[in-house]
Amino acid sequence: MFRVIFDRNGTGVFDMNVGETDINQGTADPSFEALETAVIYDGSQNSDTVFYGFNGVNACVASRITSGVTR
Amino acid sequence: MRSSFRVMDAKSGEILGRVSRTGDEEVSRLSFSHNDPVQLRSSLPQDDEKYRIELWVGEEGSEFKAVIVDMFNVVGSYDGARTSYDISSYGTFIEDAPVFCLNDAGEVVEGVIEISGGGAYLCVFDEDTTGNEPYFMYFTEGSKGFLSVPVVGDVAVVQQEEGEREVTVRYFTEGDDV
Repeated sequence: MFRVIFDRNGTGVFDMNVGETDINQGTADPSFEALETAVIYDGSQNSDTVFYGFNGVNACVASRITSGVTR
Repeated sequence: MRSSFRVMDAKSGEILGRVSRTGDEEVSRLSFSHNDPVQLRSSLPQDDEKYRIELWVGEEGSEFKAVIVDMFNVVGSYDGARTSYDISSYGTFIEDAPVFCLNDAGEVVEGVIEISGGGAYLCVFDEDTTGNEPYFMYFTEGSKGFLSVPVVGDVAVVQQEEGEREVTVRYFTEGDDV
């Protein structure tokens, strides 16, 4: 199971509760189901030389928030 | 019902478009269908707003795959080995991020973002793709999923490529609503 709360006040805070994560920024819950993999990126802190990407969620645009859950 | 898309205005909550497809009949308020891409914009907005697309399937169900495409109307140059597109006018980008383009055979080619010596952001492909335009692609797949991505290109498209789930999509400007 997963839960995503995408904070709408502009602070870019994420809460998630999903399968295993490959995560660079965000909050991970260790009690994930083994068969699920999820990723959440807060791309707002990305520089133009550090690429974050996993399984379809790619932070391509610098200084903008990119987030997602997938497996 | 086999599938449906809803496209919502973020601030008002109004459903801008909806398509649903049954076994024999397709009902659409916009000119799209399950198997075709849903175009959310066709040109670059002439304002200072920052735009975003959110896409999600919130409940467990059958397997699906949904994609967001952010495409740039730029002309590429081919040097005999590689094709480069300068997308610097659209913003700043992350080096080595994946970009995609079709080649003359209609096949999807993957490239990367490179930063030139002059500081330009280039979409680079290892073959001649000058007949087509580059794009970013984001996807979520599985039994449920969520994406929230900035859109900075000229054309924004969403599509459920696999599956028959109801996928909710919002296209909106960033601000208090993000």
